[in-house]
Amino acid sequence: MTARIITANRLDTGIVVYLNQLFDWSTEISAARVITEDSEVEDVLKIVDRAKIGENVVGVYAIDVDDTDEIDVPVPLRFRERIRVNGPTVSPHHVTPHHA
Amino acid sequence: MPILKHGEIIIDDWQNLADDEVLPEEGLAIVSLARWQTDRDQLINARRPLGLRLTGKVDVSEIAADLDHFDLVAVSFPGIADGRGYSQARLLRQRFGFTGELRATGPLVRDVFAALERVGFDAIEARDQAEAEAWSVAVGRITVRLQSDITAPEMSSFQTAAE
Amino acid sequence: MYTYQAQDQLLVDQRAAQFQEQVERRFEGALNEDEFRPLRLQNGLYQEMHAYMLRINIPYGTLSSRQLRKLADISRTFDKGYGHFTTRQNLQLNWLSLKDTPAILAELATVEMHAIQSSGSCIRNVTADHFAGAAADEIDDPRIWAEIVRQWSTLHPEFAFLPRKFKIAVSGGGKDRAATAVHDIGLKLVRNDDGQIGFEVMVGGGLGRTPMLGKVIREFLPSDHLLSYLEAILRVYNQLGRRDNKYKARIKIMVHELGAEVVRDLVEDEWLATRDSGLKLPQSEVSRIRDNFQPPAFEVVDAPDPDHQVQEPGFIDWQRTNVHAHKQPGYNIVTVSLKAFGIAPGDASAEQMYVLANLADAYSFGEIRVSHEQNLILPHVRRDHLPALWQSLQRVGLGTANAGLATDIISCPGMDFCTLASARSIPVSLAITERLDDLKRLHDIGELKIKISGCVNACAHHHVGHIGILGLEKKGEEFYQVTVGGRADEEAAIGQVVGPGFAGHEIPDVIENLIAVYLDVRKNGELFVDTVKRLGTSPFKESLYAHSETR
Repeated sequence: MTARIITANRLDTGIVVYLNQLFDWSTEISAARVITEDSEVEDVLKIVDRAKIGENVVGVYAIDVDDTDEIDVPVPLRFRERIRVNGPTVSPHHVTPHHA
Repeated sequence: MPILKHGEIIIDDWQNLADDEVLPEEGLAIVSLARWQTDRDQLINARRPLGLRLTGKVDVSEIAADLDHFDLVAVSFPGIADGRGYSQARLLRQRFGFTGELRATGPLVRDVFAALERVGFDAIEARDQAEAEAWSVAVGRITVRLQSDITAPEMSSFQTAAE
Repeated sequence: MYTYQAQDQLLVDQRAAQFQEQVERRFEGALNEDEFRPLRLQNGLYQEMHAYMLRINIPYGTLSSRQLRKLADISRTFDKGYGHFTTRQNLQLNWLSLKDTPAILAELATVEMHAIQSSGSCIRNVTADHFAGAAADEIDDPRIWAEIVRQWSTLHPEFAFLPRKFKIAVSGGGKDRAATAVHDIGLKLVRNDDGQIGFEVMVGGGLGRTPMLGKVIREFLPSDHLLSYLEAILRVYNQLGRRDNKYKARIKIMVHELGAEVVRDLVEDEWLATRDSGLKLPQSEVSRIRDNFQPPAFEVVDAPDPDHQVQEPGFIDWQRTNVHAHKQPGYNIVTVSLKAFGIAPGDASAEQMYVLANLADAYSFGEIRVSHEQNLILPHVRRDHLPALWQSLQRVGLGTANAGLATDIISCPGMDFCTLASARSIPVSLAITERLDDLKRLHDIGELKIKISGCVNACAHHHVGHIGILGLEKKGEEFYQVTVGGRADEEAAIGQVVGPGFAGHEIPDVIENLIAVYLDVRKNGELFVDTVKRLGTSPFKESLYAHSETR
């Protein structure tokens, strides 16, 4: 199957997080627990649910990633998910005041 | 789930009767609209206090003429986001003059208690004990009312009546 | 402007405190996300892709300088120092955390603002003509009536959980600058033969997945019956609107499925039962609200026309597009473009907001408007102040002379921010702006409204763009469907799809191509959209897809 990782947004800050090896949430996709068996996705989601690991996050779901050996960091297949990793593709022009 | 009546947690004497359940010899029974429509005569002849269960689909004008037969009408809220019951309550109270117990059945959380009472519910099925006990705090959270409602039917939408 | 009474203030204070408690219960686990979501949405708070987003209501688009400064303060303290003005005359902050929002609501309450019902399946922020109180063609000031609707709809106990969101717009009765035909209820001020003020009532307009124009169900509603009639419409909708399918839950589908005549009969029957109840507006209350919207203290201007003073071509261009007629002699309405080169449409930095607040105090009686076209308006500017105002605007990147032109693009946040989006909008709008960055040419093309939505929800109103662009996703790739001929004014029309979609990088070429066809065939100064109306879509299709057999 396609490799998958589990993502959500933190309840308090709203920022993007990934489930890591320790069944905790990390802001780094590089720390994400990569799942390679179909059945395991459901198992992991069940554990998240039962162990209340999902309490401090909202919107838990699995995403497909490219996790070939050549790269260290899983790369989401969907463009939308890559924007969640990297932030908006347009720079927030106004962070530094803009002068015409 | 606990029932609040005018904000007090009460012991609920009413029994929800399933459609295939026999009307018990005594006690207070709430029947569905379908049961009422099928067994109308039998239920009237039993000469017992009756309650009626309504789902959001029901056009309450169709039962307006029967309201005298009921001491209680229970309006169900399948989830917080389904707001049909608010209009049903308002029509039952204001348009069709129902004066018996009007009960919102949930599970319902404290955040909607005030609105439920404003449209005419005097009884609320709370989600749990904590929600029920929060009633007085919850209904006091927002005291400003910019619309007419069951508690002030003749108030204009504006502020003249409120000062 | 409307000034809060004691209880308006109490309401927003109480609402902020209530939300504080709800957030605490959420953190403690006493509310789960399913229970909390409708509560936070009814306070304008969304979980977006990267953070929480707060949509702050700017009722009928009217802001004071003090309020604008507060918005700038909030964006600096709690966000990244900028905000995004939307097509619903609201302001969105994109980088918030949940724990800060109760404090933000409390801050907003100090300047008579809130985020109540800016989201959720309820009556949303009421919108109105952004030139209200300044336009020469209005029958009455729509803000008076919009404020009445705002108060009535705020925390209305019966209508907090409708089948779907519900939008009401009010136009002053002249040119329709409020896009009333694409709202759930569109109210147009009219005067009857006896000279009484009332409303033409349209119901069932909306965009989204199934765009529809509203149908007139009442030609003349006496103004004192406004609320009883609205309540009748809402009660019918609350009971009969579909709840089985989110995409069929708007009132437009109910009107479509039942037919406008049946809906009218249902509404009129309901209204008969309530029209003379306490909902009838007392004259004294209407007068009290009206008093809040008295015209400012206009002066008699005895100064030479700025045209004779300033010869700078930049000023003359700006004056041609961004300065509009005012009902008061010697005054003008000014559109402050939020569509500068390289800036996301509708974005304003905190610094720009502070400057504009000062300029509003200096030149426009402290008043600012937000237009649904994502620009800001200074409604009452003395003609002889225009050159000085323009120079100040220029210094902070707010003097772009493109109001109504092809680079005055309406764009939703799109997939860079929004969880609902299928494709990005902002980069496409920036690419178009970059391609068309030639003011002389833009002025030659004339009025051309381009609107880009990143999904079928149509937040950027692409269906009613002269050129509409809809972002979609196919097999993980973004692509864009193009429509032409839509418009949102009094001749409202839904645009027609020109053909198969395009990749994002092709869109500037597509726009160039459409403009070239138009310039080629236009007659005596007709607008792009008039050319589409006259000739249909064929010449545009033919040109766009002429070499596409191999695509």
